[in-house]
Amino acid sequence: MKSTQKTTRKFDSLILLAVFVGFWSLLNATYGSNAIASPVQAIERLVRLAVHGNLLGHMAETFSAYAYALVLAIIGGTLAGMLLGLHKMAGDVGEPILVSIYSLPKVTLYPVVLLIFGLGMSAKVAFGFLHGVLPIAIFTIGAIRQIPKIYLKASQTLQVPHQKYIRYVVVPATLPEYFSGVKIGVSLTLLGVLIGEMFGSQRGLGYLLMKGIELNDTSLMAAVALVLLTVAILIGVSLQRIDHHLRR
Amino acid sequence: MKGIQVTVSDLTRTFESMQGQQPVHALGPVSFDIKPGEFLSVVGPSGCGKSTLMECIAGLSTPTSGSVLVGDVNVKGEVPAGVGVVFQENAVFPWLTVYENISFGLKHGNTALPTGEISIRVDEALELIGLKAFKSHYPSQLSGGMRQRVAIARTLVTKPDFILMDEPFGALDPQTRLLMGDELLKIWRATGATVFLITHSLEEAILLSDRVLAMTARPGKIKTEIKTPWSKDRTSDISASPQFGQLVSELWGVMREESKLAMAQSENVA
Amino acid sequence: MISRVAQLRWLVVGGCVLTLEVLCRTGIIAPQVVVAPSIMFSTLIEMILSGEVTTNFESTFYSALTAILISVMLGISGGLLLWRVSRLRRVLEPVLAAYYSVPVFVFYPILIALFGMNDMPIIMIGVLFGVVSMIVNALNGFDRIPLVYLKAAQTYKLSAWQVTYLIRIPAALPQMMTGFKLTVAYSFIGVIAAEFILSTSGLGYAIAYAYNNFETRAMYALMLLIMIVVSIINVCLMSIEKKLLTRRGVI
Repeated sequence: MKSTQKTTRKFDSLILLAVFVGFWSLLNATYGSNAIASPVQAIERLVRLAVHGNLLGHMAETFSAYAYALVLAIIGGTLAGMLLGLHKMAGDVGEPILVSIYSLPKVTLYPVVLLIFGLGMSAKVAFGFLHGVLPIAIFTIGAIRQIPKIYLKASQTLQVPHQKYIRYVVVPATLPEYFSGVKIGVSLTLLGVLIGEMFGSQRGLGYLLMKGIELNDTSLMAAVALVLLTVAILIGVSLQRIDHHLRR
Repeated sequence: MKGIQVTVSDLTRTFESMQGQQPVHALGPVSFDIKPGEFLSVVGPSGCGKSTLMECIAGLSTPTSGSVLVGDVNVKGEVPAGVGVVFQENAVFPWLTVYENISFGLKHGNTALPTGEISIRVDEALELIGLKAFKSHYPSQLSGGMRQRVAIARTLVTKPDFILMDEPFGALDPQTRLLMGDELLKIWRATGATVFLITHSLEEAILLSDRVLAMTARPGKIKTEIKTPWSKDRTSDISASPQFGQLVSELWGVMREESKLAMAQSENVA
Repeated sequence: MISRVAQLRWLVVGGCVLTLEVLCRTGIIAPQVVVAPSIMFSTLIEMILSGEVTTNFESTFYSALTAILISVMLGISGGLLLWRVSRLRRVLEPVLAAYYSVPVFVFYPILIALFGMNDMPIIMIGVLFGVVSMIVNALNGFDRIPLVYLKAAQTYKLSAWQVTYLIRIPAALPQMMTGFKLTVAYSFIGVIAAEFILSTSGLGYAIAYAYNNFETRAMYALMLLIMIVVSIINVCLMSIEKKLLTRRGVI
């Protein structure tokens, strides 16, 4: 990429940031701190949380649950997706079922998860897993199905053994579409973990958020939101980078 | 509808560099005339800029230098009135029926016609291309050849004075191509429009046209012009005549070297 | 006639339900945890007949439908805008990619401040959930329009507005349909989740209430209702999509 394009991008991102902060401040000015805390208040609160409020502890709780859930979701989703994708009949039967479950409001299953796993880390991980595994599985199935049949025929006529076919043809051919699913899974898993924390936990960013909502502590909500937004942007940027790299 | 005079003078087209690549000099300079009502074909190896040439003449693309005169309109990146284009890729809209596709230009274009008049014209066009029975079908229900006929009808129904076609029969099998060529000639005779046709097939060019222009490899320039002796009433039967074979060989003799050059070039042009 | 694949699918689903029923009835799964499917079903019938579900159901449905409508309009226009202004698109792409990781419930107080203490904040949360899918798919759809359609439009000398609604939108419709299915799902999810956490009406709220009061039967009955409604909507959408795609020749 030309250096002028890179500079424009950075500049645009800064403008976006400025617009965002400006809009935020405007909302605070119009509706008061009882509705939404100002950016300054949010940062102040954030600092206080970090120094006095064990912010790092909460973050560690959330992100460790996230890490577990994500690993499980990726492994589970990919395996399930491969199984259903490579085997036509299983895929035809299973995919619509997965899609239907995907469109259910999973938050209504939350009581079930709590009843099964109790309060605590395992419930959070389970919830995050539930949110993330489905899109990954569904997209993996889609990715495998869209491989042009001609690739298989070409490999067969070139006498390529099946294992090598999977490794050198299936994997590269499915990577972009598969990664689209992983992107969604990455986001939704975090969301699942956070929602899980909002109910069944005494620790974690989701718990802090819920506390803020219950007490109408807008600066707490804003502080937590700030942390989450930053994490989300970081995740988003990394995902985009990988995506661009894959699609070249 | 009467055909229109087209004059191309010193036309060139260069594409700007993208991300560190060299600018691509795709076309020209090219100069030629098309007389009113003439059927002109252009042949050339891959990548020589034929499609670019057509786009510049049609006003879909702005030339880097030189000029195009269609009638008395100086064409510079805007499609002039009275021009119809048939593209290589099928541009028939899949969400409209055959009837709705053909009437599209009449309904939404510059010259809004009353519905009654539209209906008459579309029925005429359907008759001409032989698809009257498929009026309410969707393009997905038709074969490739039928779809291209619809595309041609959609262009014709606006009664253009100047028709440009870029490999309109490219996706069809050879037999259908011959039949379509005959139909095209029928339509040309009936309408008297000026026709500019781009084709890969040397036989097709010799068969259908009054004149054939042969282009060099990129950057494309006119290498030779071949006039055909056929009368206006020609059909694909003339392919049996010895003159036909001679002209095709002659054309291939001119093209062979350019085609080899083109094979060695990289496919960088947009 | 149902295809063999569909038969198998019913078998799988039926098998799961049956297994669950057996596990519950025999006490392997405690009734405080999961209730037998037959009981879920009978409780639901009771609740429907007694009318206690009606207001909540209507509330959720109305909110979700409004959310869907708003999401579609914002989504298509947003998609169009981003598609035209590529600079804006490039800057927002990372935001769109990770959009779903932020729980949009954080915006609830500001939504109340903006719209008041009524259904609108709930609806807007549904919109915040659903609009991104519409934008992303509209973008995708516009990207995939064969260039030749736009060139053909040039030869007809259409105005920019005509090109948008006569060509761009119809051409992108199949992809937008995919987005629409997701938007419908996400709008329901958003509305019900918001009701669950924040509201005093609607099916989400009813489930939270039942959970908090240990009324497991009612809770599962309501979940069953949501599952049934969402499945019916999905089936309708899929058949509409199938018709659309067959007519276009995509299938």
